Amino acid sequence: MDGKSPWLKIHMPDGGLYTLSQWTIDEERNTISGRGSHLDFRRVEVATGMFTVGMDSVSILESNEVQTSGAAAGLTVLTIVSAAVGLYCLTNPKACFGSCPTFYLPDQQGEPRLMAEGFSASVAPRLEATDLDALFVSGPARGNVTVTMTNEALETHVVRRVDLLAVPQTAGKRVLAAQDGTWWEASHITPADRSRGPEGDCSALLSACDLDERTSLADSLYLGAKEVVELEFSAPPSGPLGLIVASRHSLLSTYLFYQGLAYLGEAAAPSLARVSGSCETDAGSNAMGDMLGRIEVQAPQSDGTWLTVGSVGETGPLAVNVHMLRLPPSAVEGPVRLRLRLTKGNWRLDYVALAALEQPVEPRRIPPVAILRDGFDDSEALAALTDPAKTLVTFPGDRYELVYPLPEVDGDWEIFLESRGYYLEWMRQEWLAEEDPAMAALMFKRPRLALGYLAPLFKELEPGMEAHFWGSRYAP
Amino acid sequence: MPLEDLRRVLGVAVLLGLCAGIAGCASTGAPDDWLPLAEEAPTDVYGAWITVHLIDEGARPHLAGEFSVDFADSLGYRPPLAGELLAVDADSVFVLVGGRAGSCPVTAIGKQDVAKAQVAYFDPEGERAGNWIFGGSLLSLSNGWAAGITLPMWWIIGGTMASSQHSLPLKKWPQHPWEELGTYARFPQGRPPHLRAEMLPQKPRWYRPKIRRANSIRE
Repeated sequence: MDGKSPWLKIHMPDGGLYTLSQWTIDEERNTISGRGSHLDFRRVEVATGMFTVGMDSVSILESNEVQTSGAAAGLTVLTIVSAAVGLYCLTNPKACFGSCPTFYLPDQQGEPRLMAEGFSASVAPRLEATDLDALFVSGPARGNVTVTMTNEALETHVVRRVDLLAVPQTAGKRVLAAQDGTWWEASHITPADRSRGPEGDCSALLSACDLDERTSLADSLYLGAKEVVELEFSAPPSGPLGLIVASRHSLLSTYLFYQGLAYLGEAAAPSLARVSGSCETDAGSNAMGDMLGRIEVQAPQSDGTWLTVGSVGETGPLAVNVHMLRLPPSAVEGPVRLRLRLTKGNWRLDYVALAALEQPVEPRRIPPVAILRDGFDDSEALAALTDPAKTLVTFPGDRYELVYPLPEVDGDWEIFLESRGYYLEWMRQEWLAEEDPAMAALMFKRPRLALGYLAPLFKELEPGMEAHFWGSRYAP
Repeated sequence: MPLEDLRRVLGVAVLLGLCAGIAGCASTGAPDDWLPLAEEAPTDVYGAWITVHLIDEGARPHLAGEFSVDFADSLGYRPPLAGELLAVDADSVFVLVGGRAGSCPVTAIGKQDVAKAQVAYFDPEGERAGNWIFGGSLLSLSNGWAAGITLPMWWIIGGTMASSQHSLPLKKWPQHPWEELGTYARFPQGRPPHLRAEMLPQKPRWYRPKIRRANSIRE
């Protein structure tokens, strides 16, 4: 902020305004003090005198300096702390960008692409978790690999480690990490011959991992309503098979999470702290997530019924996650028919394929050897990410480049990103207006009822959510 | 310099000066004395003046404090929507249409309906530049034969400066994004939750920001 101006305008979320002169910032207490006036949104003076305003209750700070140039007398300069975010969040708070750490790598064309988001479900210290993301569509991995890690939301990220897990790649084969923790060299990766959802044929959308995704809209009456996508592989590879599913969440789960925080209002922080501090997580705290569920993989039984043989899917609407589920031998005899059962409007399906699992492999762990911030070595960040007892704390707009050296091998490496940590969502002023303990209780204790009640509210926002979400991103 | 050449140079200079002045001197569109002076802007608590031209002028609603649509049609002229810029959000622009006519309802204009828009956030005091050029031109008449050079210089340089002076406080859409125009609104943080169609008092006629120039023409 331009501190040269003797005048400061403090714009408040309710439209009120403080105009202060001779102002000072107390960084320790996170407040601004100064003498001046407080006006309401109609610009009627409410009070005059000395004011101290908490930075966390401010929408925008504006300072102006009048400059004299050769051609002109003055120019107004606005310094905006949270203009873009505030603008979007005020119009649609539950569609605001939420991200957890985002990781970018060059894709096969060399263009930077969002490849992974770390530990998306870890919204409190006690929920610290390890997240493994397959960098399935990254370019050939050899030599030094640089991963860009960013904080693009109004969140505090606490990152304990970010390592690469790498396996030498054999020509024509890929390496897949299975849901059960095993690693496999895979071949004969085969998309489904026929994929069909309630909307009709979706084979083309699911045939490549290209962000051309199959989506659906949420149910109008009950947000937990399910749908089925049928898959048919007429000539599957032989031997043990795994089903590859590349997917990411829609914004339904983001909306429900933020709406839950909004209903909790002032109680959101203590509630999250309770999750952090207690040994037993509140049984209802993830009930909503359980109702929405993951993507169930079902195989037909001899009696004509369908049996769920496993599930895939991961929290987060940003990066496409590539998962592999090992299929039981009974499910892969002859032409393979499978079904994906998923909550309507909750998932974006990018790619579905079968793969022959040839042999188990062991990945090699590669920690970063250098971390750059704004182009300069950041040894403290490196120390934080390589010492298990330390963490790297990042704030909105932070961006780090992590450098990993891959050993020389014949060919390329198949690489995966393993991140561990948690993040803290910043409570937003606009959410407090919706505090409703009864609705909060309904969401956490009676999620089925809540998913019905919230359906029309979500459907009203659903058409514009994507635009609002990406528009409220803190950093490009 | 031969007389014929001098006349040619003078003609080109006059033409350039006039072109620069005419092309560049865009009007703020605000009523007289509505905008703060540049040095008053740091303490002005109201928004900038916005002028909005709609794609379909016939489709806009009747607005308080304006000509009626029928009356405007009878004149064959529909003035653009103009007033204090209150806020810009994802799909709408909120304007307190009018000037200083008591309270007015907040008018929401869909961004998709806008053909072009201009925001003016301080008074460029164009008349001062005009006076300066006029005075300089008179002075140059005392230069004798050299007036053939100094007079067109005043017009060219003065015209260019006046042009840039006029355009200093202006931001136009689509040349500038709405987000940038929104920073000059009364509510740069976006529309406050309760601000919908209610009546808001306009900038009072007596209102002046707290910083003033000692010799302000409005003192």
